[in-house]
Amino acid sequence: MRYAALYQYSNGQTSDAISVHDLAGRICAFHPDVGAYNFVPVELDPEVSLGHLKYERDRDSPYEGPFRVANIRYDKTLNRCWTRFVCCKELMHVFDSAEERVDDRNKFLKLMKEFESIPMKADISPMFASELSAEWMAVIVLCPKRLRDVLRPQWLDKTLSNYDVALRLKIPEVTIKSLMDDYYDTALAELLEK
Amino acid sequence: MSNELDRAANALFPSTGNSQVGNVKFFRGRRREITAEQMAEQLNRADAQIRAGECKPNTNIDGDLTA
Repeated sequence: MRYAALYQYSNGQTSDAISVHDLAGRICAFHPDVGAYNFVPVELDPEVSLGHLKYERDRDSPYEGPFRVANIRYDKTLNRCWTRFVCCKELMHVFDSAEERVDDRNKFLKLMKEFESIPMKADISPMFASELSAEWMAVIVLCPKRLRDVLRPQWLDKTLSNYDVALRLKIPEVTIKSLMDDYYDTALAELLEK
Repeated sequence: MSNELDRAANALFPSTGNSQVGNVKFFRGRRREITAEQMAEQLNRADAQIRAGECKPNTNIDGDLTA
């Protein structure tokens, strides 16, 4: 399954707020490398991290062959909008390419150092770049074009505030500025090729 | 290597080469300046809570989306 297929599913729904569980279920049904998912609230330091993905083989699986589970942990103090956004962003990493995946020790250590140093664009690894792409993937799948086309004119003429849009979509208010930016169309076009 | 980073790397990717992990990614927190050690500690912390049975999956993070 490609990201484009998940986006088309989201864009084909009729509701304002897209269910993250529905997206995860869709991925499990159609992505050959994802057998199951879990969203687990844990105690984290939200100053450092709001959540993470640990995508791993299920050793207890009764199925033959690899059965991988997307285990997504999120800070249990997050409100619903943030929980949905953090979980959705981490879920988007099931679409990571082979070079974007952190699947060995050296890649893990490199990514962790990049969180610390935040390198310049030309120097970032594919693993770190995918952290940024996944945020856009989450924003767009939670507000596909059919919804944005309705909301944006009202946001531009100030009929709707950032808060109003966030409330409709059930996503964090801080994402709305990006969502309404012209770059949305560029990001969408690029991600549909992914 | 630092303690937390070393512990996380060893848990994810043991030197035996028998890793079960296919990907690990993070959502940054509110503070811009963080260390690799602090980020690794978040993973270790979550693993410990889950191993201890303190956390169960949430089967309805969306809640009522019509509300």
